[in-house]
Amino acid sequence: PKSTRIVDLLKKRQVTVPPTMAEPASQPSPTKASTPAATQEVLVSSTGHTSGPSSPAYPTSSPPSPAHSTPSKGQTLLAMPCPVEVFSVYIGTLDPLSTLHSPIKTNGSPWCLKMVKANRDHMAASSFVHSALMDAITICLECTSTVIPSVNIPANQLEAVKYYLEQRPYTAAFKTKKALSSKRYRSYYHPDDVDENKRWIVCFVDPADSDVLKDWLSRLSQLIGSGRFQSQRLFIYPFSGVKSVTVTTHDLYRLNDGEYLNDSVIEFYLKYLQERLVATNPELAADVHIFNTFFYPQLVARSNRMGLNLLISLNPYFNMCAFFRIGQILLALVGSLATECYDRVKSWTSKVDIFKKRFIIIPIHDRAHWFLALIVNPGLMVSEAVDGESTPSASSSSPMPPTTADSTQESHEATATPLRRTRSHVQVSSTEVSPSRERIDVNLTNLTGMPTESPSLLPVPDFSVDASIGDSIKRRYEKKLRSELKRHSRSPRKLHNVFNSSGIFILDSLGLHHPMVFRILNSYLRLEAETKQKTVVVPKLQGAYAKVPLQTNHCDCGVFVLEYVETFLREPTFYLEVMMNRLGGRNAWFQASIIRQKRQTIHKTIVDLAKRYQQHQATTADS
Amino acid sequence: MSDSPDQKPAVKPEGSSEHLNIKVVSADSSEVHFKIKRSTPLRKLMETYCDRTGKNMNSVRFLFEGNRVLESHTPKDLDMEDGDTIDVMVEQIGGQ
Repeated sequence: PKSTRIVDLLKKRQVTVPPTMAEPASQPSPTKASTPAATQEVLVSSTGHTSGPSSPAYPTSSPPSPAHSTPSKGQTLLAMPCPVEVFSVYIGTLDPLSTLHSPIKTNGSPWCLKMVKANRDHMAASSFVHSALMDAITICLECTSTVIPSVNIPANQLEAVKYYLEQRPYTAAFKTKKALSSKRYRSYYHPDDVDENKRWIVCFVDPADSDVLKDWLSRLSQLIGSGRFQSQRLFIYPFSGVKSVTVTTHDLYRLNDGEYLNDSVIEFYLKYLQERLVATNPELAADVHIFNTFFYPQLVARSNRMGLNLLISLNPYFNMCAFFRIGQILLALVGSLATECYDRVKSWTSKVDIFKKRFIIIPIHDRAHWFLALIVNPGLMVSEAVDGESTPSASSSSPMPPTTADSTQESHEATATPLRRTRSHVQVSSTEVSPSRERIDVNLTNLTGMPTESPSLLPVPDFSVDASIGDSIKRRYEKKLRSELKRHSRSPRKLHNVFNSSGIFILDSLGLHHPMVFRILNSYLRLEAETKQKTVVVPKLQGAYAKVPLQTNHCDCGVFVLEYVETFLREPTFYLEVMMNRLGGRNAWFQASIIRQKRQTIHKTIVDLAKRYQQHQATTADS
Repeated sequence: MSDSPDQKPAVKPEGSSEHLNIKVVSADSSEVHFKIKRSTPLRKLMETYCDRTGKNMNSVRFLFEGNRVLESHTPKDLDMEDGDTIDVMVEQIGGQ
C-alpha cells in the first residue's frame, strides 16, 4: 500500500517543480505509529530533458550526448527533504553526464539518486549519507538484478563496492568505477563535491522499466517509514535504573546485514546477556564484570596517545634506572600521565571491586573495528594490603573466604583459590546439565596428572539456546578436543589450570594484534589496585591472543564480539581451557556461519523488548 | 564548536543549594559548564549542549561514572554532586 501511495502521488503531481524548492506535500507514509517531527516532502516533476531538473543545484555545462544517454519518455523527479532536516533527497532522471562535472562514461543510465547535504551537522550528515548510500547501492543492485535479469552483479562485487565506500568515501569513486566499469550501473561520489557542505551521491539504475522506479520508491518510502532517516527511541534496557542504555531505531537498523554495529547495540546486548545470566546463573553473573565500550577510549590519553603509550610500555625500564635522576623524572611523568587517564575511569568502579571478579569483559572499539578484551582472574594480581607477605597464589584466596565446599577434589588441590572456583562452578553446573560437573573432574584429573579415559571426558555442553547449531559444532569438535586433552594429559607439559591462572585475552575476529591493549589494561589494573588499597603482587598479567573464529567479511566484527561473549558465558571454564591451552583451534567456539543468524536473533530480541517495554510503560503508568 | 570553559548557558540560575555545577567534557577535552537543578531531567542539559556544540543528539553519548545518562535521569537519580563531570563520547561504529 505504501508504494502505491507514492506512485499515486507521483502520478498526481506530474508538475514541473524546481527540485531545490521543495514544497511541503502530504506524507507518503504515516507508518508505524511514529510521528515524524519534520515532514517528508514528496515532489514530482516531469520535464522535457534530462538536464533540466538538475540544473538549479548543479549547472549543466553541456547537453548529454545522445550516444551516452538514453532519452526517457517522461522524466520524474522526486525530492524528499528527509525528516532529519539535513538533506534533500532527489530521485530523478538526471543525466549523469550533465550533472557530473567530470565525465564518466556511462551508457546512459538516467535513473539516479542524488543527495545533497544542506546542513551544518556534519556528523549526522555523514552518517546519513553513508547509510543512504548503502541503501541506494543495495536497491540499485536489487532492482537491476531482479527487474532486469540480464544484468547479473556478482555478490562479491557488491561487497567490494560497499567495502570501498564504507572505508574510503573520498576515493571510493575511482575504485568503484574501476570495479564496476563493465557493469550497467554506477555509483559515484563526485570528488569536487566531497566537502563539508556539498556531498552527494549518484546511483544509476537501468531505466528499462518503470517498475524499477516503483520498486525504488516503495523501498525508499519503506526506508523513510522505518525510521531510518530519523531516530526514535525504542526502549531503555534494563527498563529501569541508572545503568540503562537507550536503544533507538537507528541502532536497530545497524543490525541489518552488512551494517556495522554501533556502541549502543554492543552495550545493549552485553547488558542483555548479563541480565539473562543474573536470572539463569547468578553465581556466574556475580563473577563477571562488563565494562562499556567507552571504557577503553577513556583509558587511552587523547592528547598524547602515542607518547603516553610509549611511556607506559617503557615503564619497567624506568624502574631500573630510577636510581638516576632521569629515571625519576620519567617515572613521575609516566605516573602523572597514566594517572590522568586513569582518573577518568576511576569513578566507574567505585561500587564494584573488579579484583573480586573472575572475568572482566571489555569490548574495544578501535578505528572502525570491534574486538574484545577479557581479563581472567584479576584477583591473582593483588593481595589485600593487610597480608602483603603472602604469596600470590595463596593471597589470592584472601578476597574470598575459604570455601567449605564438600567436593571430593579438595584433596587434589593445594591452594584455596581453586576450591573457591570449583565450588562456584559446581553451583554453576547445577543449573545446567550434569556434564559440567564432569568437566571439573576433567580439569582436576588433568592437573594432577591422572590420565582420564572415560567416555564422558568432554561433556556436550548445554546449548539449549540454539541447540541445533551448537550441538553439531560441539559434536564435530568434541572428538578432536578429547583426543587433544588426552594427549596433553599424558604429555609432560602440564595444562594450565584455568582456576589459578590469570591473564588478558584478546578475541579479535580479524586476528589482529593489539600489544598496546595489554599494556594499557595492565597499567589500569595496577592503578585500580592502588586505589582499592591492594598490594600488587604480580605487576603484569600475561597477554595472549585467543584463537577464535574469524570473520569472512568486512562488517561483522561487532557481531562476533557479541557471539564471543555469549558463547564464553555459556560455559566459561570450558572456553577458558580452550583459550589457555590452545585446544581445539578456532572452530571450538562456534561456526562463523551462525553470525548471520545472530544479527537476526539480536534484531528480534530488540523488537520483542520494545514491545515488552511498551507494556511495561503502560503498566507503570497505570499503577 | 565552543570550548570556552566559562560558558554558563543552560538552565537558568535560580536558588542556591538546589543547584549543581556540572562540567561536560567532550572527547577533545573541551569543557562546557552547566548549572542545573537537582530535580531537572538531564535532557535539558543534553539538548543545550548539543545545540551549543552543533552536535546531533543521536550521535553522541553522555556518560556519568561509566553509565549512560538518559534523558529522563535527573542529577538526583544519579547521585550527582556539585562539580561532577559528564563525559561526552561520539558514537562508535565498527565492523571491519
